[in-house]
Amino acid sequence: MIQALERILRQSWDRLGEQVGDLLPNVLAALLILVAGWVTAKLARWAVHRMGARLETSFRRWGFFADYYQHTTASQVFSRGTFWLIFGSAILMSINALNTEMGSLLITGILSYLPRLFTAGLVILAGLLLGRFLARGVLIWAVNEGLEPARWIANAVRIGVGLLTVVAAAEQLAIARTAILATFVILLSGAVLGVALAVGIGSRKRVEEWLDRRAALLEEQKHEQPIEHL
Amino acid sequence: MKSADIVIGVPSFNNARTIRHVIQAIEVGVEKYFPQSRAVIVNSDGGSTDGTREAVLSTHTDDRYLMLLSHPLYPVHRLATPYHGLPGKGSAFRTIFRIAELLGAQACAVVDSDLRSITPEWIELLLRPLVHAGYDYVAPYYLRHKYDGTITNSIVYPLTRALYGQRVRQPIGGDFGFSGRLASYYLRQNVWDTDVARYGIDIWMTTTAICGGYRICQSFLGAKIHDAKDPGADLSSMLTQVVGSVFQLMETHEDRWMATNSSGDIPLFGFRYGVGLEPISVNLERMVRLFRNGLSELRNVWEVALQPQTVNELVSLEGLEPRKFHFPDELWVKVVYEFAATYHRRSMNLAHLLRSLTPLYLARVASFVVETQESLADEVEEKIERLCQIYEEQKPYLIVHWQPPTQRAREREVGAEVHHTTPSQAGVAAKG
Repeated sequence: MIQALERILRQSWDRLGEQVGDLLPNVLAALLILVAGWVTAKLARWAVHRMGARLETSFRRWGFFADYYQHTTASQVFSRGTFWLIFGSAILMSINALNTEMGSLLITGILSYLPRLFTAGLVILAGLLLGRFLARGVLIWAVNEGLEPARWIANAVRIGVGLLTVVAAAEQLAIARTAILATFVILLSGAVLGVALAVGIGSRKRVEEWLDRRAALLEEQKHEQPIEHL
Repeated sequence: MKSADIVIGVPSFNNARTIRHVIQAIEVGVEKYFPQSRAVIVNSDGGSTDGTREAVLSTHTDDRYLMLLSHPLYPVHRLATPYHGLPGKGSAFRTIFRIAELLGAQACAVVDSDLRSITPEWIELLLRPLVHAGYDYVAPYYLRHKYDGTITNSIVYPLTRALYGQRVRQPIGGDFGFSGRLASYYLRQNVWDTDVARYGIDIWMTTTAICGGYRICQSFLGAKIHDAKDPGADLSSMLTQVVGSVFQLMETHEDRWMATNSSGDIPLFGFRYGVGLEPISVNLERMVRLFRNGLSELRNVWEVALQPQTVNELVSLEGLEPRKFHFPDELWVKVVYEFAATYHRRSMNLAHLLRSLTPLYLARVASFVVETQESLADEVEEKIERLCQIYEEQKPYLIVHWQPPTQRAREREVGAEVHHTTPSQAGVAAKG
């Protein structure tokens, strides 16, 4: 019986050794790919950052990314993007190198989803830039017009553009399309109804006072002789 | 008509109400002061629908012979034509330049079509320096209320003077005289598809004439009274257009203004006089309120456009009462120069940058009004002169901040000392 036990244990150990022996090259290959990918990504990031100075001047001239220069430069954005593109590819390759069924399924799923992911990323980026740009423009306009809730108006514009961006990105990612669209419509309608009720019932007196102040200001401006600024 | 000695251009758009008087004044002016010259009045119209072109062609002056000393040799011809290109005064002027060139005119002028105060003498004052004194460009010099022309007085005049070295008192007046050869020079410039064609033509003409090396003078025309403008006209848009044009021209003529170190007077023709002008009531509280609102809401924007020290100095103005509001000249000049540098660096969207200047400009106007409440015209002019001197003294500050940071760093590396934290230090370093 002890011999049988020994035989079973030895066979079990041998099988483990064979399985490890089969799997180990794949694991080593995967690790090697990860390391090589990380090193390549680092080098590419450095190279793109070095070349970025000329790109920065062009982007600055065209006004692209102009508002973000205080915190992030165009070369930083592109160098980081390059790093993650290369390292991300290396991660996928290393998963593939493991040669497992789950790994293959995962890669197939990711690769088929990549175009949508990329498009959604672009949509979100565009939405963020546009929202910020429009909000700033509205803020400056509202301040120049002497409107007191200038920042609220600007934030409302930013939030509105943000919500539209989320809906558009969700549409691209095919994530609960109907639910998100319905939520957006409900939120928007609710906000409009809420504001209407607040203005009509809750803040009637305040709105009246604000309108009276505004009318008095316009009347005052009508009677003053304007300066000819030019 | 194949040639003419004089061309007078009148750009228009729906000005039927006022253009008759302008045409009459021009016609009498040419016949009275240049009776032996062949002249054409060119109405360059932007597609008026109120009968402006018909008014130009049908206008006649019944009592002209009461105003003339002698019979003119030639009749004054009129031409009313639509202009082509981008809608705007610049495109209208381009048509006038082209006609002047085709007719070989030696002396030309352009006047606004909504002038109420134009007289025949304006024509003499705009053309005589060209015909008899060999000048190429005649800028207008108007008699204005001390509070009028604040964009000109606080930005355009002192900045243009400091940059290009010529003291053209009203560089964006709107009524100019220019020689035929200068008109041809204007036509050869490649600007007619840019903002110059829309709204930047006045400052462009003045700056181009200066930088092109042409002989410049100015003529005193008296008061300039327009047809009443829409009181809702947007100050912010006006400021954006004018200041944007000035900054854009700074980029075009960078070499010229960087090499200019001082300014000089230019001749002034005409008999200067002064009259009392109606008082204007100014809403100081509103201007200061807009500035304070800008300080609280646009500080993030101003921190991109301005140096930290400048922003701090602006913050220190917040608590001042409207009746005692004071925006120092030195601070204002720094603001203008830093905005120019930010425009050049493209650190933010240009429309946002220029529009965000509005609350600062209104603060400056409020301060100017407070400081000159009891002042006479001469005293106000002295104050403007002091402002101009500060613009010139602080020009090295502009030059330093105009350059990109990498260039400043390179200059530090090769040993050129550029330590600038205040304009006075910049001035000492530049002179050294």
